[in-house]
Amino acid sequence: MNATEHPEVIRYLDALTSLLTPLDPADRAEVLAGVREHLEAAVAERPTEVAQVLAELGPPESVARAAYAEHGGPAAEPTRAADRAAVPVVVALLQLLGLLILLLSYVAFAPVVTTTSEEVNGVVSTEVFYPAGAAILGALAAGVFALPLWLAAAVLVGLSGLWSRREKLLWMVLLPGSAALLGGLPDLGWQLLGETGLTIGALTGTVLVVVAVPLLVWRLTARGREQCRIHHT
Amino acid sequence: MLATLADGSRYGLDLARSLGGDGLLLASEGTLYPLLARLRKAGMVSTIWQESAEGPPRRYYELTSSGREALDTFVGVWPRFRNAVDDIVETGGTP
Repeated sequence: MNATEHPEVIRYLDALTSLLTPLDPADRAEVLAGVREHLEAAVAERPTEVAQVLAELGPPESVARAAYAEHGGPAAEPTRAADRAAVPVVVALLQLLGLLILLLSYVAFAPVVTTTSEEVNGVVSTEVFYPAGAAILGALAAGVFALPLWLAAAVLVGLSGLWSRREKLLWMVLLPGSAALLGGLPDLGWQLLGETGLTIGALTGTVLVVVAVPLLVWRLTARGREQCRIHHT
Repeated sequence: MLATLADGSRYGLDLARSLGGDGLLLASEGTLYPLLARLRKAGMVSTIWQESAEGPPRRYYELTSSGREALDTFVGVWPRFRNAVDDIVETGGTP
């Protein structure tokens, strides 16, 4: 396996990339390229000792500290407002509040399934009526309510240097993604399996959003706080 | 660092091994790359791409003329510096 395909190596390089975010892009690219090549060559020689190779390289934090020492890092600059330690927490709260509003208003606008039963000549026929696209509309309406919180979080994340571009993107898509899941899955289920599909879709969407979003918020917050610690030591 | 390049160009992992082993000259191998980047920016080393037997081409580092000058200066000064430190450590600096 190529070094850059190894999960531990990918994690290491991702961590280093995000730690080096505040550095001048050319310096950052050069340090990263050096480390990446080192890993490729070392893992090619000792494919079974990836953990050992990474240990010898040292934690990403120590490489980042050396880079700041060599190139003048953010420690020398006054801390920008968007890089303060409170920022990750504020962003996390905004996102979670946004998610709560999204879920509550989604429930309020929840698609209605109408069941009509009719008895004709002793035979009961039941018809289930679901207006196609209702879940999508519900999620859209819920999205409008969560929009101010999303905007506030997006501005903070955008200004902050605590996250890499990828992590910032993840912050931005959390709420829209949740709305898409909540809106899209029930309709998809309806199209595929009818009433059962609708229930499965709605449940899957809700569970996914309720479990995955807080988890991702937690990870991204931890990442931002880690960055703060690096910058301030 | 410059002295490891005195005999010709070398690639990153190779340099890391020469300097890294005992954790004395390099805190960890990874800290080599910020240092190399600074030396390149300061014009002491330059990088060239060379094909490697296995895998993709590698970035080789080599001394520039000003890197060699800096090394020569250092090599000239170092024995005197070392002797001065030895004297102080051994005698406490009393003549």
